[in-house]
Amino acid sequence: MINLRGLTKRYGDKVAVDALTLDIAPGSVTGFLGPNGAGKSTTMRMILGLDRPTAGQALIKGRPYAELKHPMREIGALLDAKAVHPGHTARTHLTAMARSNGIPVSRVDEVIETVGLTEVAGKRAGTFSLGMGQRLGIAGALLGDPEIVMFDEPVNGLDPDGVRWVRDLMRALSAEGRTVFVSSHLMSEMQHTADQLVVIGRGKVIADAPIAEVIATSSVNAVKVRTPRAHELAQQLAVTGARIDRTAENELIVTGSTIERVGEIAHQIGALLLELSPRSASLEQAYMELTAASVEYGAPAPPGAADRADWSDHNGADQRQKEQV
Amino acid sequence: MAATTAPTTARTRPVPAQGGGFGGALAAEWIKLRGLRSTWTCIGLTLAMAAGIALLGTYTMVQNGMTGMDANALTPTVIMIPQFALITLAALLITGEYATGSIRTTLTTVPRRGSALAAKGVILSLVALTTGALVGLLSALITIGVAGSDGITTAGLTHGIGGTAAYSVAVSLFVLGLGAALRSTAGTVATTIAVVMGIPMIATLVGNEVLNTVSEYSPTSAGMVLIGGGADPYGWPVALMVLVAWACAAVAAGYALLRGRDA
Repeated sequence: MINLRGLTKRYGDKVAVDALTLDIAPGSVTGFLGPNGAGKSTTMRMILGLDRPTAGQALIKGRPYAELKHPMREIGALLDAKAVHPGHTARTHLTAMARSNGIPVSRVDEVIETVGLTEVAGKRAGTFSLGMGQRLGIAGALLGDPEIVMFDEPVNGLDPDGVRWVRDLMRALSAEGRTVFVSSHLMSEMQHTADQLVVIGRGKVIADAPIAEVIATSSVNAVKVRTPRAHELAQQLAVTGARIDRTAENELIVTGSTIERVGEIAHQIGALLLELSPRSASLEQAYMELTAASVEYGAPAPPGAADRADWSDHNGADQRQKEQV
Repeated sequence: MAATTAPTTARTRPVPAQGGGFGGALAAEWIKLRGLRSTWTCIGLTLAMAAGIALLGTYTMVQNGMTGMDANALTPTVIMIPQFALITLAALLITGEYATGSIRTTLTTVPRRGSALAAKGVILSLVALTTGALVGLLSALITIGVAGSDGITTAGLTHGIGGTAAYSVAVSLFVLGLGAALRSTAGTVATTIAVVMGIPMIATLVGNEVLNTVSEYSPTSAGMVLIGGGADPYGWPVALMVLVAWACAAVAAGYALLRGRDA
């Protein structure tokens, strides 16, 4: 259990983390999402006592990190792969960590094997690839067999095999009842691994809910209708305040309404329905929408981007026919 | 890198605590220091330079017809150059961690900043003590070997070996404190050179009374007294206190900054 209470970090005038209050529950994977510069890493560093909060506090099982006698037995963290001295071998690095936290040295070879670095355990970390560095960092996080694990962008630099391995690892850790708190800016990654989502932008919580709920509350949820009387139906729907995109001759995408309402109106005008289906947004879309206002270093949209529909199963021909009603 | 099969992380039994605490922090610091090539390079260079300088010095003195000098006669001079290898080792102990980012691992495994710095201080002191004592011993053995064994006195050997060891510890801790404050290897080594070499040199060049007084209390002057066993401008107890004061001031400054700073 990690509890953040009004956690705040200011650098001069700039607020990096703005009064975050969060409870990160055990037994699930909590995804921590936000655009670059949203304050994810700063929050994680404050949880570990590396950065001092300007206000508020971060508690691990009810206590600040610095008060934990053997912190690695409570919470294991991968902050970034660059927290290893390149002159140390993987084994030296982990042995030093183990000794400092009263962890039996026999555990070192266990975690080295868990992350698949057995063959290079005696090599200097400076010779490691980015992916091997990530694995070494994960080995360090698992060393104390902690109840809580916290990973900052764990799949950075990993090949597809490695990405899958990290995903399985996080699922396995949470299945064992551990608290898994993982940051990422890759939405697709979170969709596969997280149960719970915390989305932050400009240091503030934008969403804190189960992943399905975050997607469901997104306004990009829509209804797809195919009917020969598309034009007429669109006119009727527009009266109710729904927003309609005519994506093909006989096809409408309706947002701001419900599937029941669309069916009811179609029935009223006696339109033949060839298709009536819910369209759920991907997490990527929900996320883009949530954070649209808080992207710190946004680039202007490329010309024509605004015209392109988000609906992933439309081909280009459909999009060219798209007509705003 | 081949992916491992389904990850299993759960242990069948809880991990029993073994050690940890400050003893664990000490063990970790020793493992880290021991595991770096630069550590052994610095210690090796310190000893090799000391032996070389001692040999050259005694040989020159013998050539000039001086024999039977005290075994400790050259030691204050012998340590002056080799100490910079030891200073580099002391700087790297903390600035090397800042340069590589591994300071974040150190401070997450030992989150109490005071304990983390103290553990480094203890391990560094032991290494400096041993290296300094070996420098004193080498210098005495070479002097005896080359120039004869007329001048072996207990007091001389105590100052030569014990004094060099104590001086090395004080200078190393001064560097550690400075490194904790400055975080950069270059800045730490350059500042140390300015203090150790710069103060006496400037005082000699300028000859100003105030500067001369400052120079008398520099680590170098105090070290000369402590290692040489002389009584000018003060005796060895004062010299030891001067060195302790330099070390404490730097470590206190380093701790004050380390404690409140984001890592």
